[in-house]
Amino acid sequence: MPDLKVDQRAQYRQLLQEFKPDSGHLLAALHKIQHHFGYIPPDAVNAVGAQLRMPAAAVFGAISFYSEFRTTPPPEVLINWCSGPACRNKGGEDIRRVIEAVLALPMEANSADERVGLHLAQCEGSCEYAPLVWLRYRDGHEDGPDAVLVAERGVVHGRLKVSDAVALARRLKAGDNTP
Amino acid sequence: MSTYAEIRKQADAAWATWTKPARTRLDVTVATCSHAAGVGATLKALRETVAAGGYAVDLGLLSCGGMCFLEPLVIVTQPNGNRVLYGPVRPKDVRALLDATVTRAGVYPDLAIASIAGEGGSVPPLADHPFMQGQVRWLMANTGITDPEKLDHYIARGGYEGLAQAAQMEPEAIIAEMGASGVWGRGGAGFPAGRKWDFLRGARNTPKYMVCNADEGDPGAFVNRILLEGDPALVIEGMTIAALATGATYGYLYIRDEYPLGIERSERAIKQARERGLLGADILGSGRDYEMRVVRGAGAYVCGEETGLLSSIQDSRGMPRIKPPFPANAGVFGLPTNVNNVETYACAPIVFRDGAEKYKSLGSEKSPGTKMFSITGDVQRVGAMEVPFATPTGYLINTLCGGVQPGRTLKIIQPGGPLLGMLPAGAIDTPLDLDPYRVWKLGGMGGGGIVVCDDTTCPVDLTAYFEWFAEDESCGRCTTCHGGTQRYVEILRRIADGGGRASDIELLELITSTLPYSNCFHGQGAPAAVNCLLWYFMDELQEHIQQKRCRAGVCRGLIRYAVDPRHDRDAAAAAAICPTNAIRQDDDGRYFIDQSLCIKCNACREVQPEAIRVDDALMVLEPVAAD
Repeated sequence: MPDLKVDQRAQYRQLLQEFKPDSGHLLAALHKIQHHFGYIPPDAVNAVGAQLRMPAAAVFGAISFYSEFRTTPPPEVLINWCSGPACRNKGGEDIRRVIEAVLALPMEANSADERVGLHLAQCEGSCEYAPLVWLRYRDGHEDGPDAVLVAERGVVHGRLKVSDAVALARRLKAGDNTP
Repeated sequence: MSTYAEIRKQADAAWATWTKPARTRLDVTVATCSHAAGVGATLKALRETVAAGGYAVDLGLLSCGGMCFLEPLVIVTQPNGNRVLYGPVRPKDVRALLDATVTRAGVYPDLAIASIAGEGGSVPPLADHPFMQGQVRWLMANTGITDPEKLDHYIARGGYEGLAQAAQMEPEAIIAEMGASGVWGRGGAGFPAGRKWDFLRGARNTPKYMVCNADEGDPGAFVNRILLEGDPALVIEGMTIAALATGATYGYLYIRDEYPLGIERSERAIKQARERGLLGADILGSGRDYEMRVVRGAGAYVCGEETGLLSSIQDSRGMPRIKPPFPANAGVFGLPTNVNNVETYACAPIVFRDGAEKYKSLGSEKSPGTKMFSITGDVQRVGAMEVPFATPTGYLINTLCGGVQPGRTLKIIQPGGPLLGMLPAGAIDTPLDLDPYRVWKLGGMGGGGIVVCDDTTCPVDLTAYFEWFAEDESCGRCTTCHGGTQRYVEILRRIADGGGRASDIELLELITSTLPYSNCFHGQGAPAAVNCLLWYFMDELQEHIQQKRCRAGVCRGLIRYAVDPRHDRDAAAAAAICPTNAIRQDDDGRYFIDQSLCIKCNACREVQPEAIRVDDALMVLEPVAAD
């Protein structure tokens, strides 16, 4: 087990201090870590386990069970590809193939330079605008009534044509990350 | 502690100010669907135009009332109380809208949809809108009308009247009233809510827990999202009523990770309820205490299974448990727990505010009241709606949502999630009720998320998708489930790739015969799609297996893209868009598609529909005799 640096240990302790053992706090604790770091760093597993008095194996078991916990840092732009049926009916599978081909990126992978990643997302019911992908940006969120959507859903590309998906993927490949 | 009358008085004052503001106010719909529609750009344009133009206007907030197809929606409220709904409002429309409604204090006819309150003038009332015909809005009474972040709006429109009633009743009387209403569990299983509550009331152990299942994971279903984003207090009040009835002292509202706005607004509504004494100690003088919080999921469909949900809350992987013991005896932390769906709890405030008798005045004998539905897929208008039970499925699909696109025909109706299978177009006359859907040999009607597919959909491909989903989301405990769904996917994908064998039908049936031995409904429901494929779409399946043909042109192993030589000149643009450079020129300059590179993504055909055609790749003209 790696020896935690004192400052990082203190940071975990501060983030986790509100959570208690046997209180159903594991998901909330993991969300808090991920919200802070953008992912769950390997040494946070032991910190969460210590705080909640759970074996690290149980903490890691939970992390690996859920598809929205990350154990690697997020890319600058995470392409969320909607896997839902309405998107599928309207060419979603075509869009997936295009993105994977242009960026040479399999699902759930990041590019070698950690700039672009691809994630299989679940339907959230914006199906009027199917097929859609949403690009989640790591940095640069503003306040406003839609802040939580901007931060967590990012920029939605709705009613996306396959040819527009080609153009979008080529733009990302060329290094243009602008929304 | 305040009484309900005092809380209501404060709320009424806030609502009066909101509906007759000192100056014109524009309320913008912020919801997951309007975000996808680009409300962010509309908001930005509004803020900038108002600041630059010095308009005397305030900006407010709304949520989606189910008309997803008209987002971004805006309600303009005038000081005289006139409220008019506009949409879709895009950045380019903002100045004209402000000029008409703020500067000239009138109506902007170009985008006016309906009058919400006051004098509409030439704008017809919302009730007359085609999308609202036949809808009864009990659960959705506030969605799209009120600010979902202001509890006073909810209260002023009759919210917490039900709890105030229940707070004066004995637990037995609350349960009797809920039982008399006939409300059954909206999650899909159809168990009577009153009886379920009675199990918990009778449980000996304490403390007891309330759990609300808002892990709405069926792809294409979003009725719970509409409620949690639009009127979360309705769910919270319902849970509180159930707590008073059962003796539960703590509750968990478990919301899926994909609904961050629903999570934020539910947490705010809980906080506001606590501030008014509608949560906490001695609620409304009942002598009973109840507290609750939101639990955020993290992306696991199987947590929608009630025991998976309990495991997930209780610090672990969301693995469904073996029943019995049932949650009423051993739920979260091994203690007595009641688990209901979002909509089930949301019915309770209506039942206690208006009485079980009125609640039963709509719907069918077996299913009183109303049900929310979301209709998505190949329809002209995607939206969320609320209708009395037993309304024909086709009324929602054809009348409210406009049916399939012109020139297409209806092919498949998926009534309720991947675990409830898919029905042929003939199901369109089926009343939306429990028993009529059992005629189709399905487990039930589902949670209300209906997916519509037209003739461009291939049932083999769709079944492969459902089984992939079931495999991907299996918790892994039962070999029948995680192994069986894997085998399903392998066989179906092989068929779609052109490798179908006559013996595949038997193999699919063999897997189906093992899946009922799975522990939870995830594995037990997984065969539904395959069953429906065999029952209702056997001719197309046989076409795939024997003739190697996909009539919908979807299954990639059975189609090939080709350049139409008559339109060779137009193929340059197609070649330019091809993501894999598969469209190339031969030595004579004629375009052809290198099949080893083609990923069949359709981009070429989208830009040059005449130059590129889709052929059958492997079609066998003479049917192969079954071996």
